[in-house]
Amino acid sequence: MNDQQIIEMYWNRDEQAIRSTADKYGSYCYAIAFGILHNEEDSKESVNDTYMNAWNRMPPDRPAVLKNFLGRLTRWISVDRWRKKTAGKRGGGELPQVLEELSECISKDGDPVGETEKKLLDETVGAFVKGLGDTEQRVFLSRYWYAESVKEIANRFCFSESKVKSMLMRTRKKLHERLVKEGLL
Amino acid sequence: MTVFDLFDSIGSIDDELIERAKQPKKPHKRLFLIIGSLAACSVILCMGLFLWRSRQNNTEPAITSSSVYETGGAVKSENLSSVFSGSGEESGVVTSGESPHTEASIETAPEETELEIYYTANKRLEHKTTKTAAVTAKVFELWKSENHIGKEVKLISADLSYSDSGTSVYEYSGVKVAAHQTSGTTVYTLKVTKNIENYCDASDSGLLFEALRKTMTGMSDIPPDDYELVLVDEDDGTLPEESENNRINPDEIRYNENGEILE
Repeated sequence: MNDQQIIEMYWNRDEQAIRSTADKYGSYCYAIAFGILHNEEDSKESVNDTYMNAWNRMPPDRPAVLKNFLGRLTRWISVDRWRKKTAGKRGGGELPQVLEELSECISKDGDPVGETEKKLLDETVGAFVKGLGDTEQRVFLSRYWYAESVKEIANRFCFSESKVKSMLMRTRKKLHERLVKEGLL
Repeated sequence: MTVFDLFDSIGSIDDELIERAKQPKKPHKRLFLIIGSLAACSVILCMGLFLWRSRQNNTEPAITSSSVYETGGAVKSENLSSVFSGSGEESGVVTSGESPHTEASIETAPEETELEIYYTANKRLEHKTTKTAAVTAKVFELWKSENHIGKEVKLISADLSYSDSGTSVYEYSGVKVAAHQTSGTTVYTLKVTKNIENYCDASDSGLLFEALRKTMTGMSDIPPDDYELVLVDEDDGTLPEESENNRINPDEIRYNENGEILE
């Protein structure tokens, strides 16, 4: 069954849509959730929440790429779950480290951004990532989108861990400079 | 701005980039370079091996073919066919003897083959099969050993003469000789120091020489048409006319008043 057929089922409120989604993208969503949560039970719940969220969003949404739509939802739900679960304490998995690294790009004790500033931030980050070199871009997203560990990235790209770390550090520095330049910091 | 704002913004990156980030890494250009270099090295190696094998084959011609190669008598570099050197009454002579010449191109060790070494025992001719390189000097030494011949007996030369009628014979005066033979007879001349006679009893000297003949001519798949054993003095390895000291300089000839040559 192709993605368009699945999306049509969502739009037709056919519950088979969720089963088809689970069959086709269940493991993909679980991998994203587990990468953030590092907990089997929490990851399964995040994936189920993803299906529910997709059911509520379609309609009106009609994603161009169902896989990425589900992946984005899973990431968002998993991070939200992680934040609630580890409020005030340091949690396990890669996410704390990922967030710590990203905090180097911003000023400490900053306030949450408003609606307008959030839009500008999305555009700036999107343009920045697009402007990166191919390998740099993929390594950056593997770390900060998928929350992959440095070791996993190094293995996949056949790099040493130190090379991945230095590559990420240079990219973070460039991102910080970009955010300053755009007046976001 | 909080770190979660930034993390969320990264989460809203284009689908295409997110998809691409998880794809396997493209082979690096350097990988192609390495693979290419390895492939080139392999090709060169194969070519080298092929040429080396070809050369090996060329240095081991069979006496049955029309080409005969001579190694200059260097013990290390002789092979089966080098037993015979191209020479003949009509075609010039090249002696294999104990010339010190060696040639780099034929330094590879000849392959070992099973040869029959004849010897005398109880006034009978016996033989034993030995696996050895078909090198004239080496076979001669083995023959000496089997027949209890002392070290003072030396092999001076082993020549193959071609009596060729009407066929061109190519001769090269250096170390290596290729003689193209299409017809005629071959005479194998073995020159050995005269002191070999010290090992001959009156009753079985013929048997000892027969053992020598059969051993030395048996080195080749095709034995020569004729065989000749020449016994020479130990210092007779060099022909007198080839010696610098024996040459007469016309300017140095002195005459007396009657026009007679003075000694």
